[in-house]
Amino acid sequence: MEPLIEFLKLIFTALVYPGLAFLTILGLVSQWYRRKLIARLQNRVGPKYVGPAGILQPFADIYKLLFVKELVTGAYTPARLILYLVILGIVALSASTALLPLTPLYIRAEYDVLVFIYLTFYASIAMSLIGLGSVSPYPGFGGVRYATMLLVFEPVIAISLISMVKVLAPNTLSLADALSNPGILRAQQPLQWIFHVATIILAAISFSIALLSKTMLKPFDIPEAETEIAGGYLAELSGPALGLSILLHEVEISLYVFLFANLLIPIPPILPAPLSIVMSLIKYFIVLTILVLVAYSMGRLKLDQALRALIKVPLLLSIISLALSFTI
Amino acid sequence: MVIVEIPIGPQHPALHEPIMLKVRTEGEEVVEVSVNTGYNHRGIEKLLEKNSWVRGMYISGRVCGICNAVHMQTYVQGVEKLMGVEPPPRANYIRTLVMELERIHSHMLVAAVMAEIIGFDTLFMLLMRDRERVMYLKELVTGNRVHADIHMLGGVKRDLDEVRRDRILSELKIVEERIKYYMKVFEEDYTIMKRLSEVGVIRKSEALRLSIVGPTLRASGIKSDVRSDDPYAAYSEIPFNVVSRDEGDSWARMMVRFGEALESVSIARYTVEKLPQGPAIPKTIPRATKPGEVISRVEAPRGELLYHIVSVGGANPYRVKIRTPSFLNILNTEKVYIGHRLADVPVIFASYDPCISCTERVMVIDEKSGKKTYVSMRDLARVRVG
Repeated sequence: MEPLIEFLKLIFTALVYPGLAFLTILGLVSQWYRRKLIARLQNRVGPKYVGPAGILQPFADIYKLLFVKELVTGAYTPARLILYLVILGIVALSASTALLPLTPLYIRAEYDVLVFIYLTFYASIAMSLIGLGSVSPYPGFGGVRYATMLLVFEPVIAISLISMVKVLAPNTLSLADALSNPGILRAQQPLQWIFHVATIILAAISFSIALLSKTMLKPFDIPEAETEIAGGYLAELSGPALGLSILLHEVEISLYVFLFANLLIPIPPILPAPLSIVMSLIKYFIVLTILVLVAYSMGRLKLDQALRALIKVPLLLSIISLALSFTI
Repeated sequence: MVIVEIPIGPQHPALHEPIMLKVRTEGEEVVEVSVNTGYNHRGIEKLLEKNSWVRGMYISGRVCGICNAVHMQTYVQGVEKLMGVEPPPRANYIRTLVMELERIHSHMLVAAVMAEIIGFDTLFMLLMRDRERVMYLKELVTGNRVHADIHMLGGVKRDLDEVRRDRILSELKIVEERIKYYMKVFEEDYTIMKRLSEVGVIRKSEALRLSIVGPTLRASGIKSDVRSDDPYAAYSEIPFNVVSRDEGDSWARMMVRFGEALESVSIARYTVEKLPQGPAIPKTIPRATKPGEVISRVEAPRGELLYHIVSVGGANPYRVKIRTPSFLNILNTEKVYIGHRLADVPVIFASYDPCISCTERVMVIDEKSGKKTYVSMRDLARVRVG
């Protein structure tokens, strides 16, 4: 009986919480929140009609794209390839949530932060290939631009994530340890504590800039630059392929911001489980608000400027933070 | 490396009007741009020939939505010259006020479009919100938000009373503050500076050779403005500066427009404060002209606007030829894009403040052989340059 229950729990983890369903709902609710926030910033109302205060608008959009709109296949779009790519990305992101200590059942191993980086890398690969898989020049440009940026922001994200986890869980380098029992809150010498905080701050700055570029928020929305390449990697997509691509994008934003918020502001391990999840969500929305407000008070950079900016500040800071985290 | 052809337009999120830029790129670098036009031909010049002088006034106003008052002014002042009619000073002041309000909202619009093109949506929304104040002012003066239709042969159609004068002055104060604020944003914002400075540079000699006009010319360091060179309406009585800059890049063009918008605010204020007494609305409208021809030019928000009107007497014009500023600015600057990144193409294009609906009127028919031959607008522009 026991293996069956374990198996069912695993399925539940992957598909419902904190896997696919939870990520989808979180992603779409945050899309609504983001849209509302940007709208208020821009002197508009934002989503209003579907559900209370328009909260169901993103769900309605995705539902319509998935089940009502037609998947147009033509010479320019290998639709099936794109569907497979999107599903690959979403599955990889859902699978990586199993490493987060959100339920009693989570996978924990030493150095599992590397597994997380590996799994989430698939989402970026998928997004880049969605563009490159199309024959049309607009998605092609989008795909090439994303793939070029990926060469810089992925190392930054990996390095700063490892240095943050190294500070929070020095012995195991496990994400679960870093999130549930952060080492920074344990008693330690003041000097060491100062160095740890400095490492976290440096890593957080580099991580957040790289995160803006990974999730294609401004000023790094170069792969989808609407006024240059007409929507970039999404330009030739329609119906379910477009819906799932949007979903993949939202899920990626949510997962990364969720992880970032919880690494940045550690929770003391004494809190009971439900309360700590509420706390996590509050932190998530705070960090999301800051990121969105920063992003939408900027324009878009050019590809070469963005690469230069990414190499100059975040890459350098992340390497310094990594060095600090391993020496102290 | 493989050369990729990217069509920007005729329907594209970066362009608000139908024109096509065929961009050939090698990687991200632009190697060739060719401008394709011909998506918006409406036969305006033929319409003008077929209608009476008074109706022609409204047709000329419909050439363009944004700069409708300057089109009307150019047409009306040309026809008035042919008819030998002199508008009263009060009417000239009201015409000037409307044209300056138009310049302010046109320059704010292009700033907003530029913000949108570089992905700065927040700035776009806020600029459009504040532009609405100017539209309101225009409505206050003329009764219409977009198409002013204030001109009349020999005067204006609506006079300005005391109550509206005070309202205009108080609104202009707010508009001036907002323009100053946005000018500061364009001067200081990191992404705007990164995207606009050193992009699409046109040197002084090149600008003269290419017959560039308007703020695009003034941003290349040449102080040329019809309002001061060849004053019309009330401009000879109003003190103002011609704004120019030496950089010649897209940023300089935007800065010139902001400087001009501020000048326009002060001109508008001057016209309202010093409005001459007397009649403004003509009692009778002349219907026919003597034979003759006239060239009439006006400084539109985008540059020098020129009408060539030919009359053989009677109630209709024989020929009205319109040359708009965008015609020169768009078609002669294909070479400027080369060597820039793909992302710079919409920025450079928007920095000329293109107005396609103004430009698209050319259709060439070879009447002698009875055949219709089409000459592309690009060739026409080259003929003009040579």
